[in-house]
Amino acid sequence: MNISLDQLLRGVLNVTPGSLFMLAVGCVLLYLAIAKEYEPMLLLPIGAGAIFANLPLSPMIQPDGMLDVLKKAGVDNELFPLLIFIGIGAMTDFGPLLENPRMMLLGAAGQFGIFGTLILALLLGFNLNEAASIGIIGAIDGPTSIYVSNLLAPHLLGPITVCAYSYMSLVPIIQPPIMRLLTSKKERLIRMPYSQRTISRRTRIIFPILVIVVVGTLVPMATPLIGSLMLGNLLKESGVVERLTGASSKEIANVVTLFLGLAVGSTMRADAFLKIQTLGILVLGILAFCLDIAAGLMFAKFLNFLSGGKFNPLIGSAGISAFPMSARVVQKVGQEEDFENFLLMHAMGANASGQVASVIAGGVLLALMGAG
Amino acid sequence: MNLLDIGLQLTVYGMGIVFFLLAVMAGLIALLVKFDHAPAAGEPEPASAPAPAFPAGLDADAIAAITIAVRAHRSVLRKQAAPTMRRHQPGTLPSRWVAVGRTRQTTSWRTHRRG
Repeated sequence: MNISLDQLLRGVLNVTPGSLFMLAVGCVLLYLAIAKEYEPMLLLPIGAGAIFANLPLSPMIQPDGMLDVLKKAGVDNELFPLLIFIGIGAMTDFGPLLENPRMMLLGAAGQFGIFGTLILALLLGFNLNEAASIGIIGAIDGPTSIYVSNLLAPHLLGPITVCAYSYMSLVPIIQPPIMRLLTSKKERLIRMPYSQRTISRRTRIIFPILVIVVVGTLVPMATPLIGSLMLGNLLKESGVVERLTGASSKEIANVVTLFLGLAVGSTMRADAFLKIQTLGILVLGILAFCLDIAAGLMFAKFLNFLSGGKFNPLIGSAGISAFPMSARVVQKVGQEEDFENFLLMHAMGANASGQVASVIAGGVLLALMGAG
Repeated sequence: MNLLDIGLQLTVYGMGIVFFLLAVMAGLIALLVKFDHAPAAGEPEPASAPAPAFPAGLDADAIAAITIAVRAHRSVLRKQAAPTMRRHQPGTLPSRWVAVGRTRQTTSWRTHRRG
């Protein structure tokens, strides 16, 4: 039997500068997850997936390798993001939104970043499908970003997902400066009385069914996203399937998050990731976040004008999907000006609305692009 | 038609549809809450079920004391079972994402300073 040195050193001989760079990127993601705790649930598996995928001759990404199987099983057919949405729905309390339905409009304004970024991406030379996929980072919603970009531009899935999740963890850093820049001290001091309404169990149960039927009928492309989100919420609010609620929000969500992270990480191969496009996506991604927050603030300023100065514009910045982080940032910034100003529950309403709105906006974008 | 025109059209239609849908939802929710409101304070409460019978020899205070003792005991068992490196009690985190976010907001905007 002849054993050649080349055969033994196949791994070393197939190391490329690109794969080394991507190994470093994978390690950076691991560092952000472990040391900085930036979305560790997703960034750690993504980092590990990126490392697995860029090791020389990695069997894990060969046909029928583990990562290839995971990608085919849950990313290519959009199953994993939808399963995660069931978990998110089971964890989300839409009570503050039901108490104050007008906050729904703030969620709509908070989606401007999707379309603003789409235009910017077109100006930078991306084609329409790519621009729409980059724009969806502005949904500030990981599963929606994965779902939409996988349908429109699957080759950009890796950078878009990394952007969506890593920037989401930076919301508490990105949001306050924009809030201070676009509002005056007088506006930040506006107090809004809050009277808590008791929402009946029946209303809480009807709400997810209503959303599924109305949104599913008007925008069929949004049905998988909104249907999964609201199914999770229905499980929670029904109160009769505690085990399913627990499984959706814990075991299933955890397992799928691991699988999804590894599968997405496996798409970050050097040949696909190391392009000038990726740099553009990273910049556009953060712009998308900023545009969302700014648009929400400007719309809230408009509402403040209409109400004769009774609406605190800070609440507008919570009309995004980063739930409940964004609402807490609003409370914190509001309290910096006036310690006794209690904006949290208003902001929670806007934030819950942002959660629903981002999913709807994802479906609307797919419908407009004629996907599916 | 150039790509920029298409982008502007997508923005107008997209934001328009999103606003329209959410306005419809807001209206429907407002109607739902209006017609299906929970009994407010002062309204007569629906007839409640008869109070559960206590086991022989135990009154409400004793039951409450036993409940608290059982919870405290379970909490001790959990703490003992948890590794010393663990930051939170097992089972207390519905989502690590949420927990980390909450902790960050209630402490500082700035990133960790170690050492």
